[in-house]
Order: sequence, then structure tokens, then C-alpha cells
Amino acid sequence: MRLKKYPWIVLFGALMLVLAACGGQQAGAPTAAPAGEAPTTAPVAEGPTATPVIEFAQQPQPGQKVIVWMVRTGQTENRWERDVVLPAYAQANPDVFVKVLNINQPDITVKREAMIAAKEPLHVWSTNWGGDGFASDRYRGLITDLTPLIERDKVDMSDFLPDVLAIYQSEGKQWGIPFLTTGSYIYYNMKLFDEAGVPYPTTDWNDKSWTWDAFVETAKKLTKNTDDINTAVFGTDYAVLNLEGPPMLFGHFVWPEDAYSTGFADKVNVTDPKAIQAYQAMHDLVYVHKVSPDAAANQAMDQLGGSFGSGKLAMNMEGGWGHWVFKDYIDDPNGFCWGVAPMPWGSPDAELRTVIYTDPWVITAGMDAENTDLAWDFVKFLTSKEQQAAYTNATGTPPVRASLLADYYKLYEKCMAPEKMKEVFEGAFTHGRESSNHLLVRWDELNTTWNNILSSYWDDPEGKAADVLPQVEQAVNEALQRINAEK
Amino acid sequence: MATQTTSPTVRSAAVVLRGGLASKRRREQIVKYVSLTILLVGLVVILFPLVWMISTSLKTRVEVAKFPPVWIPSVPQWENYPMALTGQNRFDVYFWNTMLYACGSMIGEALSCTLVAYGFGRLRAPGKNALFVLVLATMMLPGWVTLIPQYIVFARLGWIDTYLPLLVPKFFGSAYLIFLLRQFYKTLPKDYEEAALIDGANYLGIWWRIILPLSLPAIGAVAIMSFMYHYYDFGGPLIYINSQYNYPMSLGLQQFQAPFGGTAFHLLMAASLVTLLPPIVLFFVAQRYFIQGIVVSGVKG
Amino acid sequence: MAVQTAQVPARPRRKPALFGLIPAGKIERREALWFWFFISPWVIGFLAFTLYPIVASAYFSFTNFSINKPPEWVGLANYITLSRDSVYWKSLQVTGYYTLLSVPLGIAFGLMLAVLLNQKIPALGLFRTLYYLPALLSGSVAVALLFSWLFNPQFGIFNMLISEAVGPNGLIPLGLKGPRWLQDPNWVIPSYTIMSLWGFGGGMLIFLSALQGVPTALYEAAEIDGATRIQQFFNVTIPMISPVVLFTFITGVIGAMQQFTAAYVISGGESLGAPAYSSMFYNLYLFSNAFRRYRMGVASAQAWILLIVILLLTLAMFWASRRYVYYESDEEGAI
Repeated sequence: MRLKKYPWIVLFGALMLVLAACGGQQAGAPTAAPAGEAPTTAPVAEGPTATPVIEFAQQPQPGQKVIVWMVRTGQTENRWERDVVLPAYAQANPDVFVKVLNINQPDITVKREAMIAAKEPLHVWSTNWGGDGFASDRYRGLITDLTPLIERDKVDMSDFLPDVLAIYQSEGKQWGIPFLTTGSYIYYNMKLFDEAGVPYPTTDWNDKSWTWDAFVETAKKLTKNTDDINTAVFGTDYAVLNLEGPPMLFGHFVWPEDAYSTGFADKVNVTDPKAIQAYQAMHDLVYVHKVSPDAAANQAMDQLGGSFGSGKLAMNMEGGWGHWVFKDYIDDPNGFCWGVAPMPWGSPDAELRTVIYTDPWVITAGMDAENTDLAWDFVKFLTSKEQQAAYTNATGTPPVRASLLADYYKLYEKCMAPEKMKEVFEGAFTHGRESSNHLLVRWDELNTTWNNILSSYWDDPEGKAADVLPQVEQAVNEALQRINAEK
Repeated sequence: MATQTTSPTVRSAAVVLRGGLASKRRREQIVKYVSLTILLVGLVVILFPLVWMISTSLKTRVEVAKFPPVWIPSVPQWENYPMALTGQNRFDVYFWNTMLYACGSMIGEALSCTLVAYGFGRLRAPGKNALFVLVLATMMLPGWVTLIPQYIVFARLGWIDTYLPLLVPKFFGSAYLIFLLRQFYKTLPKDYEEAALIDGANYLGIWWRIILPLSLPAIGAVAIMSFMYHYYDFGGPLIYINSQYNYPMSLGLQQFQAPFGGTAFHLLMAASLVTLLPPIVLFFVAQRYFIQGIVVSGVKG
Repeated sequence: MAVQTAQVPARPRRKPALFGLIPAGKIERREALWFWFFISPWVIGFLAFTLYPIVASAYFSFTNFSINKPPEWVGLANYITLSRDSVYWKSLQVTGYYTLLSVPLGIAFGLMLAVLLNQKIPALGLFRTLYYLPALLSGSVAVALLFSWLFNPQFGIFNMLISEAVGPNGLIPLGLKGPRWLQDPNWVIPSYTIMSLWGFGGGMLIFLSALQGVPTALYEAAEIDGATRIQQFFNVTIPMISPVVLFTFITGVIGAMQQFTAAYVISGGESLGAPAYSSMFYNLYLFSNAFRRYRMGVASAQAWILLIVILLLTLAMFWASRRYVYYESDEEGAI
């Protein structure tokens, strides 16, 4: 029978296919390489029009020093790195080659830990992107104290927002240079406000009329048809923004005052009446006032690229990344205009009521002087005024230099007057505290603990904050005990 | 199918037993149509996510976020495809990297596993069972705890940012595929070897001339599985590959992700669909050789 | 060593040497030698690449190891910590339940599909390819996200279909409501099982190739004996491919016990394991200890406990399968 030989022909064919494919590798490589030969000739441009092949397949020339820079994936940020930073830095420092490691945020921790354990070169990265956040990274000795370098080079830090700079100071040392900072805000869909004939909310954080009740009333006016998803509009969503988020709105801070500077808390207090009131108020948005989608609906909308973008949500309580994530909606033909409002007053004494998110560039600890200097030079470049301006322009993320903020607000001119944007944006810094996920050691363990208990609460129409918060407090306190015992 | 190879006398005996050729034909027809119906209904479930992927790949960024989701994009955005595959993300280069990785691993694993599995499946030696349990045990330890020491070893060898840490170990067998082939080899009758040994053949010859041809469907399955696994493998390259021009497509796909709901789903889906094509073609071609009887006929002929 | 003894002229009835590792007879010794030749690639690879990381992880399990600093010996402390950790026990329970549910179902579906697709039906290649497709996609992040959307209690397709079929105004108005799937701790594991079943094309491929090895003559003989299709399946097909079924069982258990990706994508970002730790798979908790809490020592202890659990399960499956698994080339004392 002929069949006997048949399989061998198949195997042979497969082998040929493989050889062809793998031979193509050799053929393909040279075409990619020359594209990266001339890095400095390309214009320093922003946006997708720049020639992206600049960085692609580029390798360090003999004699060039190499800086390894780890960043997170994300189209806008990556465009800035590739098209703005790399050409500009190459022009200024022809003897240095910047190698970008572009990793998806959830995967960063594994790669970074492996590289650090093996002492593979890794110069500059950002804490808070993957892993456990700044506090753990500092506590574990992963990052270098920048104070001597700042003093040696007499770097002028006066342009940085002082509160923001202070976030990454501890033990009297500066551990990172912030490059991005933002509060948490209420983003609102102007189209839906106009349709409902509701006036836009205030931009003044000190406007005492913007109470929680006023916020709920506004949400009620905007809510319609919540049982028909095709035409439904939800007045707002509820947002937790860490365990401390809701109680801050009602004038209570759940962590001990020194926890953020030491990185450790001995206990948490979420059974304070204000904390209970806050969590009940969030819950009531869904089940009593029925102005917010429930956890499941919110999640469903989020998975498709953000609940705010769905156009079904009139107000969205969200961390300030909304400024750059939602920026697309302003420009998109199918999009809409949005504005920004402060967090409402849950209680008249809730001065500090928004969670601030700030990201710093840091340098790996334990490198030799030459590599540390290389890295430091690059961090100085990244946080320089020119590069901060370019960063803001390219990504829509807010700068941390006071002198640049005026230009930043102009990015949103189409929908919101720059002075209004300035008022609401900067107001957050005097009315907020940094997020605990950046400043508490082993935050992941704490976060897992409270989220696993709270997730059932958000899902349960009968849920009572007064019942669930004592459980949360007990479990988090047990976790804190474990963490403190390991100090 | 079976009736064609049975001798006429046996067939007529069967016919008498089963109550007529016509009813047998009819029964087979019924079985066929029932099977077809089940398969068609199942397809709806199976293909649902695929249809959603296609629809998403043709939307704009904002249309993706529309809720409730739109199934048919208002204006199909065909340019999503070139946008996803070129520009910052050079899928043409990634493709060849993936091919190197997937083909290399497939060759390495097919070669080494057929050898090793033959030893474990058909040869007798003291301590064999204990050793085989050791092979299996290598699969049972979650990779997260060996990752750091493993990485350090390859870093010391200077293999970071190359495909060596991913390819070289493949030439020394994979526990999963060794186990699979061993089970296949164990289904083959022992007589083949005994006869060959008496004829003066050695075990290498037996492996090459008898065992390999007999287990071609299994080797085919192993090759396909190895190829597909490495074609999509993301964890290995994530750890060991640094430079973008060395990326396989799996890492290229990751580049569309972004935090805070900023993931470019439309581009991610477009690129995912294109990367799906080579494995589909490969499988479609390869599955034709999974036809019952090919092995046995081969030996008979 | 084996080589040296092989050169000694064979004497009848030699005693096995080296703790029984070198067999007595000449033919046996030659076969054993060939055995070592054939498995040598694995042995070399094991010694070169696998052994050190495994030994290192065993050592880590007795240390306090935060990855960037050298490990400190703490004896059994990590194991004791785990024994007192309620989340750890929960993760073991969650994973056991998932394994119990997903492995048999996955095998049943894969086998059924392989049998269906091993007939002469029109467009066979197309069917096989389309059914294999999900196996290619099942590991992807996008599909895990898609499923969490399909499972949405309010707007997901599953519950829409359920309410269309048996809801208050459905085809059969039983007034039933779909479960809350990933939101309800009791339904989380069934949901993940359904997700895993979607990728059963991988099992189909293995079974499909195994079916090719069943000699057609056996079916012919069975047909003459008047066996129905069903009888043929249970009395010919199953015994003949039983070694491969055993393979899918054992590797299925190994895989299910290490389930990670889907749960990481769906619950990983903000609330690992939620709700109420019902999706805290063993490997997920291990990962979070290793790379989010920097307790590599504890994670290594978790890994070694898992290894021992799976090993015992595997040996039990081998032992239990002896009566049911049919090897053409059987030998004494084999597993």
C-alpha cells in the first residue's frame, strides 16, 4: 500500500515548511536592522506621525553605554517614550543608548524581581506599576536614596509641587522624582447633563453647597430608564478607591496619622460612625437611590473599555487617570465632552476628601557609581521642564511642575475653560491624601483582605455597612498584625 | 468504512445477523445526521466569542465601549488591521521570531520526546518507574517558585534576550509530551519488538523502523501541541526576551494593553485574529491525517 | 558503571548488582542499557536545567526569602504559617473543587467530540478545525475578559438566554432566574469550569489521535458479534485508548490544580480571589505570596505541599487504573 510512504512525505513537507519559515528569520533580520541605524536624524516629534522605526530593532553601538528603562504598556505613554524621549535623549547623549523594556502592568513585578535577583541591568523604573507599590519597594531596599545626588548636582526642585514631592520623601530622604500626579474627581458627561437640563457642578473644592445630598440629587435628576439597558442612563457610579476612600469623603481617615510616613499601621479604624455612614451612603446609591449601576453592571460596562466611555454614566467617580484615558472621547467623532468636578462634602469637616495618585521615577539600589550616575542623568532628563512639557503634550497626563500646569489645562479647552480646569485639578492637592497603595508596606495583602469581604457587601441589596465593616476591621487588623510581626 | 475491508463471506454473515443491509445503512445515516446536528448546534456556542472578536476588531475606540454592545459596527474600520500590525508594533518581524520559537521547540520536543518516551514506554530497566515518577514530578511544581533560580542560571550563561533559554531545554524533552507518547507506545503490541529482536535488530532500529511509523498520529498530535503551545507562549518570552525586535507575536499582542481601561481592544482583536490564521491553516492541513485505519493499513501494506 | 558490568562475561544466575539497579541476565542488562540510552536526553536536561531550580525552591521553602536579599533559614516556620492561614486552606478547597468538577467534564466533552469528529461526515476538516479553535484562544487575556462579560448576571448572554428560555416570560415560563455566576461565591467555580470547557479542543486532539491507533479489525469483529455502536464504544474504544484516558486524567489534574490565568485576569487586578476568596485558586495565592508580597519562602512551601499532594493523587490514579487501563505491552509492576 502506498499509505506506508505517505506519512513520511508529510513529515518531510512539514520539515521543509519549518526550514522555510526559520530560514526566513535570517532573511527577515537584515531588513529590520538598517531601519534602526540612524536614530538621531529623525525629527523630535510627537503623535503617531513620527517614524516609529527609530527605536525598533535599534541596538547599542560599540562603545555606547546602556540604560535599561522599564515602562508599562499603553499606547499613549509608549508613543511618548519612543517618539519623544528616545530621539531627544539620543541627540543630547550620543554615547548612551536607552533600552526600553515595555511590559504590561500586571506582568511587571515578575520580570522586575527576576532581573533584580539576577542583577541584570535595570536602571530606571516606576514603583506602583505592578508589584506592591512604593512603600514595599523602599522597605525592601530596592531603590536608591536620591538625596545625595540632588545635593551633589544642586538640582533646583522648587518648580515641583511641594506636596507632591513630599509624598516620596521618608526618613528625610527623597526616594523618587514624581513625574505624574493627580487626585480623584467626578468626571461628568456634559452631553447627558445638557439633555437632562441639569447645570454643571462646581469646580471649587471649597464650595460648601456641593454636599453629598446635592450630589445624590443631581444624580437622581440624570438617572432614567434603569431597567432598559438600551436607553438607560445612570446618574453616577459608586467608587471605593481603596479602603480609605469613602470615609475620607465623610471626614474620617481610617489609618493612623503616621502610617503613611512609616509605611506601617498598627491598626485600622473603619467602624467609626463616619466610616459606616460613608460605606452605607455608597451602597445606597445603588440600592436605595437607584442612581448607580450595581457591581455587576458596572463591571460589565468597564470590561468593554470603561463605563464612562459607554455614554451611560452621567457622573463617574474615578482616579485622575480619567484625564488621559477619557481624553480620546473628546476627540472621537462618536465621543462626547466631559467636565471635572470635585468630590462632594460628605460632612462639613471633610477637608481632605480625595485620594491622590502620584507616580515617581526611581533608580535601582545597589548599582555601581557609574551606572547610578547614568540612571540619575536620565531621571533628571525625564523630569526636566522640557521633557515634562513634552510628556504632558503627548499623553495628556498631568505634569508635576507648577510652571507647566497652565499649558496642561489647555488640552481640555474644547470642553472646559482652562481656569476652571485649573481650579478643580489643583484643588485636589490641598483636599486630598496620597493613596494607601503607594505608601503602606504589603498593601496587596491588605487590599486582598478587605476586597474579599467587601465584594459580597456591594453585591448584596440587603447589605448593611454596620454589619460588614466590623468584619473588615477585624480581618485587616489581623493582617496588619502579621505584617508588623514580620518587620 | 469497515464493510469495505471485510471479506464478502463475513459481511454476508453480518448482514444476516443484523437484519439486512438496508436497515444498517439507514441506521448509519441516522447516526450521521444526529452527529451533524449536534456539531452544528455546538458550533454556535464555540464560535460566539470569535464573532465578537471580529466585530470588535472593526470598531472605533469609542464604539467598543458602547453599552449595550453593538454587534455590527456603524462603519467597519478596516484600517484597524494595518494599524494594529504595523507602525510601533512590527508584526512582520514578530512573526518570524514566533516561527523560530515555535518551529524550533516543535522539532526539539518531537525529537527528544519520541526517544525518551520509547525508553519509558517499552523498555524494561530497574528503577524505571521511580524515574518516571520523577519526570512527572517536574510538572507538579508550580513554575513561580523555580522562575527566579532558573532566570539566574540563564543570566549567568548570558542567554538573556535570546531564544536560547526558551529553545535549548526543549531538546531535552518535556514531561507532558513524554508522558503522552509513552501512553501511546504502550498501546502497541509487544510482538513487534520481539519479532524484530529475533531478526537481530537493535532497539534503535526498532524505534526508527517500527515504533515511529506506527505512532505517526501520536507524533503528529505531539508536534501540533508543541507548536501551538509555543506559538502562543507568553510567559517564557516575557521573562527572557527584552528587545522589541526579538518579541514573538504573543508579546506583541500585550502591547495593546493599558491600565485603567485604556486597552485598545479594537486593535488587540484585529491583531489576535490575524495571528490566529497560521495555526488554523496548520491544523486544517494536519488533521487530514487523523483518519482511522491509516496506521494499521500502513503495517498491512 | 553499567557499561563495565556489561563487559564481564555473563554467568548464569548472577545476582542483581548496585541495589538492584543492574539486572542479572545479559539480555535484561542490554535492555536496561538501551533504556538509559533512550532516556539520556531527559536525564541530561534534568541535570542541566531543572534540578538546580527545583532544589533551590525546596531550600527556599525553609527560609525567609524576599527575592532581593539572601534567604535566611527559618526551619519549618513557613509550613507552620500556612497551616494556620485560613485563606491557604480555602485556596486548597477551591482548587480541589475545581479539579473535581472540571477534569471529568473536560475529558467527557473532549472524548465525545473526538468520537463525533472521527466519523465520515461532510466538511469534517472544517468541523475539526472550528472545534479546535477555542483551544488556541482559551489562554488569551481577551477571552477571559469576554467570559467575565458573558457571565454578567444582569446583561450577560448566559442569563439572557436562561431568562428567554425558562424565565417568567420565557418559552417555558418557570419563573427561573439565572445565577449570579462570578458574583456569587457558590457559582464561581462552576463558572470557571464552564470557561475551561470552552477550550476542550485540546483534549479532542489527543483523543482523535488515540482513536487512530484502534485497529479497525476490532470494530469489525464486534459488529459481527452484533454489538451496537454504544457497546462498541464502551467495549472496544474505551479499553483500547484507556492509556490515553489515564494520561488526560493525570495531566488534567496537574493542570487544574495549577489553574491560574483566567482567575488572574478576571479577579487579579484589584481583588484577587474575590468574592469571599471563592476564586482564590491555589496557584493564584501562591503567586501573590511570591510576587506581590515577596514571601518567596512561603510560596515555595506552598509549591512543595502542592507537589506532594499532586504526586500522591497521581500515584493513586495509577494504582486505581491498573484494573481499567489496558496496555498492549504490559509488564510486571509497571505504573
